[in-house]
Amino acid sequence: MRVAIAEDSVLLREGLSRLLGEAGFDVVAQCDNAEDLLLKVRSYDPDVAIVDIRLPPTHNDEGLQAALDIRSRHPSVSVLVLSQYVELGLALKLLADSAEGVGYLLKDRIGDVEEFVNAVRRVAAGGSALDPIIVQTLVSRQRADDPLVQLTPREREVLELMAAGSSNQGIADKLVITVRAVEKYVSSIFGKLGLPSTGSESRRVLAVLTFLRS
Amino acid sequence: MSLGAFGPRSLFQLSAQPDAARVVQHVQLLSLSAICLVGAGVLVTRRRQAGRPRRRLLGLLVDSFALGLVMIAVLFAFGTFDWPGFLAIQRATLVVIGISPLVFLLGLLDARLARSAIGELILELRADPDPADLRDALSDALRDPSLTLAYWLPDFRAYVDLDGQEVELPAGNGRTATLIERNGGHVAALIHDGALDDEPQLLDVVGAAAGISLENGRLHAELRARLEELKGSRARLLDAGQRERQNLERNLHDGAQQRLIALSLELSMLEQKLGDRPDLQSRLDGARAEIALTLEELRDVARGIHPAVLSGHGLAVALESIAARAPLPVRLTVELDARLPDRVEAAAFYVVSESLANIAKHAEASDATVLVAKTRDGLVVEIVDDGVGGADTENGTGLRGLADRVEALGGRLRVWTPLGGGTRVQAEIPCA
Repeated sequence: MRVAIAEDSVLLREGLSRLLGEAGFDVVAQCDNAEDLLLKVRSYDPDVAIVDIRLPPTHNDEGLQAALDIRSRHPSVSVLVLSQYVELGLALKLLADSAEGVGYLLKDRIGDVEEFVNAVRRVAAGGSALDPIIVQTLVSRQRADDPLVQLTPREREVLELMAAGSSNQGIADKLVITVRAVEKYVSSIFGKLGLPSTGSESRRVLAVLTFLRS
Repeated sequence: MSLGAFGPRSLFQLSAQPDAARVVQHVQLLSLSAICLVGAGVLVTRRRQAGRPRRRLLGLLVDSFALGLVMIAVLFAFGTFDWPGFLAIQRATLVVIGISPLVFLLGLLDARLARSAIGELILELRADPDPADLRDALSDALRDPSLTLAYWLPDFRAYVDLDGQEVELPAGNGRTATLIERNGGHVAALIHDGALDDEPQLLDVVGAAAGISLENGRLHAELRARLEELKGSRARLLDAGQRERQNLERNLHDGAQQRLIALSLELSMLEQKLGDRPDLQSRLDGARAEIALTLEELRDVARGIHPAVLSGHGLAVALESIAARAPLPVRLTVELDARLPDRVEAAAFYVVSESLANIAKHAEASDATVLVAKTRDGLVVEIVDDGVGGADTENGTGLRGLADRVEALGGRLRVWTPLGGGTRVQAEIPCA
């Protein structure tokens, strides 16, 4: 899998590149600003671009703009946005239309190599990865007649993993249950929340997000 | 009106050629008529350029003279072409020319009236008028509606208007300034139509009569100017603080936080290389957990210093997050189509976050509504809850601090908090 990285801290950029290289990725481009990234995405056509949300020159929203640009101009390239803070508003902006091939993670997650590599792989393959903080913010959000109270604790766990972009297999591995059991939980959750069942896992992410947000 | 025509042999020889004579006469009359009209035209243009209040006596005289010229021109034209009504025009012309002395007398009367206007001014000034009304009184006395006042502030070395805004004294342009002195000091300047320069005595008398009132106005203007200055320095202080916080947050972000993340990454790659050494692995795990905790604490500190998401991504995005984190359901509506100035966004952000924190702590509300909308004059931020109301607006609830922040930007913070009727906080922050 081919990866492009845009990160202005040299330390982190080198670290990421080494980490992904060792995990079997082909790091085709590294850069420290958004403009360069767009150029390299165009020339090297990577599977996934990993973007720091704060990039020069202003360190405001250049990284996010680049990510949105790539998503609209190069739909075949997945985007994983890394940030020191994860904010619900940004996640909603990034996943406005679809959760396919998009990820938004706290930078701290890089430290957990296995999880992180899995997330990169998932996003590169067209899936999604949403930071647990976002999911928790959404799930614990106060609602007037909270429909989530109908869920069992186990269903809640499954819902959170689902919203973060995990596949059924991923959820099964994490909760140490069978894929069949996961499927049962998923359909029960969708039934209780009155959500129409969706085909792909990333469409499922969007459906759950939309539900949690409203 | 009999004029000859040229003789056949000499230009000066008289000869009887009535046709030629008529033509010459017509040309003469029309030329005279044209000259009269040009003269009247010149008078009218000059009069226009001179502006409104001119030396009144002379002005009226000039006006009647111009009218006389026009009448004469018309008379000649009627005579030349034998138009009907010649006699009527002739009488009218005589009347107009005869009126001139009357007009002169009227002018004299007008001058007396001007003097009585000064009397009125003195009476009005004795009643100690509000500085805002002083201009009108002076403008009436000088009969110059365009009159404005500028007060001299020695500390600022500048002329200002009543609101304390700096005023430039006019240079040319048909406007002049008459400086008013009192007790050897500069007090104010009357900025008036240049034509008033023809009446220096009037200006002197008015200036002398208005001395004390102008001094009062000057003090008023000085107060306003100091207030303006204070407001400006308050806003600058706020800005400086904000910038400082932003820099601090940026330094934390670019420095310590990035290094810690890189360190954690390094440790975890080391761990993978260790192979089967469970003792070392668990120690590395511990170290990484410690780093993760430090990062989290650092993030909270940085967020407290300055919400980076606000400067990076704007009010709508930043508010979405705090609304979601609030411990009660929050209905959030943000109606903005563009970014606003940093200080306005920051103020609005703090108004919402502080209000939501207050609601969580004191209001016992079941839900809250947040509305942020751009109006023609600025930004309106409103936070409404359905809690117990009766919030303490003076002590400790942070409302005072919010009001300071909003007022420093020239805005206004209002709180309605009837006992048992919920609380509504509304901030209006001006922005261009």
